Amino acid sequence: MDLRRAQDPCPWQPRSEDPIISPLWYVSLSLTPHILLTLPGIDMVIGAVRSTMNHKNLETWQGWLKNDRNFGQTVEGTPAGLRCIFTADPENIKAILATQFHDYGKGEPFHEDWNDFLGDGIFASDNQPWHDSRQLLRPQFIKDRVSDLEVFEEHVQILMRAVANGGIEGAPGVATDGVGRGREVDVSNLFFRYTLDAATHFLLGRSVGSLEVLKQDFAVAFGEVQRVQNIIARAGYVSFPYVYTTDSSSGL
Amino acid sequence: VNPYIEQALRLSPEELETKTKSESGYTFLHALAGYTRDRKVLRDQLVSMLLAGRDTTASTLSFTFYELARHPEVFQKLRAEIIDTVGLNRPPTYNDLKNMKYLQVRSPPNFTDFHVSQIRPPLK
Repeated sequence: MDLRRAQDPCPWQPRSEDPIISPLWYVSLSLTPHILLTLPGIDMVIGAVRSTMNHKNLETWQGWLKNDRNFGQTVEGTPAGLRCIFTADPENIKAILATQFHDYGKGEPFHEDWNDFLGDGIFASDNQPWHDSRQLLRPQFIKDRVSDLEVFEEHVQILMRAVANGGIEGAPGVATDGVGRGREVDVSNLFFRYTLDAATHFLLGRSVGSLEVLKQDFAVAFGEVQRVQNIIARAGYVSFPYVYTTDSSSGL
Repeated sequence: VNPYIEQALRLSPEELETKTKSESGYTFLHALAGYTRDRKVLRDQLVSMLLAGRDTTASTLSFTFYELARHPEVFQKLRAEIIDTVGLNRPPTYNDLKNMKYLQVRSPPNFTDFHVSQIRPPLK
């Protein structure tokens, strides 16, 4: 499969080809609906952003993949004029991540989209910078590094207490003594808090403690960064109207 | 993240080494600071690891418990294995985790339905 970027006859060039995008361009795009309509595949972008904001990513991707009449696993589209291939085929994923790893990469548009958040970190780089990152990080994943379970145990205990209490202390109706029995708990929210606490403890030496307060500054900020990145990852160079116009209340 | 990095960089290389070698005081940041003192490198890699370690694990936990709730027979079998191997009175060790075969094989199938990895746009 050739994943090279196609040169679409699209009036809007992607960011990599045209890194200087005037703010005026964005403004005119967001204020003039008919321009949006002329952008090929803008409906895909709108659909993707809308679904990620409504927690319906899986449904949207499954809907796209249904267009593959043969296997239902690989489709091609041009969201905002950029040729993209979406695949859930394990063989393709194996090729991209393992057997033909060196033929694929993140690409400069990805690096730019994620630059404010990930900088030149391992997940946003290719070639030599990627290799350097890997050299640096690899020793940290040897067995005796990942076998330190105490850190995780400590936070699992806090997690269990939150589940027993029926949520985070301070939330309306949450018990403080493990008597939240029978109460419905959004456990996925607690899981995100747990992994943030365990990860900051493991990585930085101290947990941010998001399982212990309703609103924890770092957790809220991290959630907001991810909300914005989520949109940028889907809308790329047409993100601007979305990022600044939507409600920023995140799960945390 | 930056205050943590500044704190770690205030330590001398010797202090970092003893911190890294001690069993309980290990942190990723201190270990990395032993290799590089470049603040941007440390910040970028740590934020990347934080993102990678956080969402993937949280959503895997969610999907795992969702699936377990839908398959009580699997849940029972898993629980029995954990009680057999670890019991109810102590936390599991690394070897316990390695030895629980049912726990190990239960993990992968979920991933085909619910993978969370990022899209990789073309390199060339």
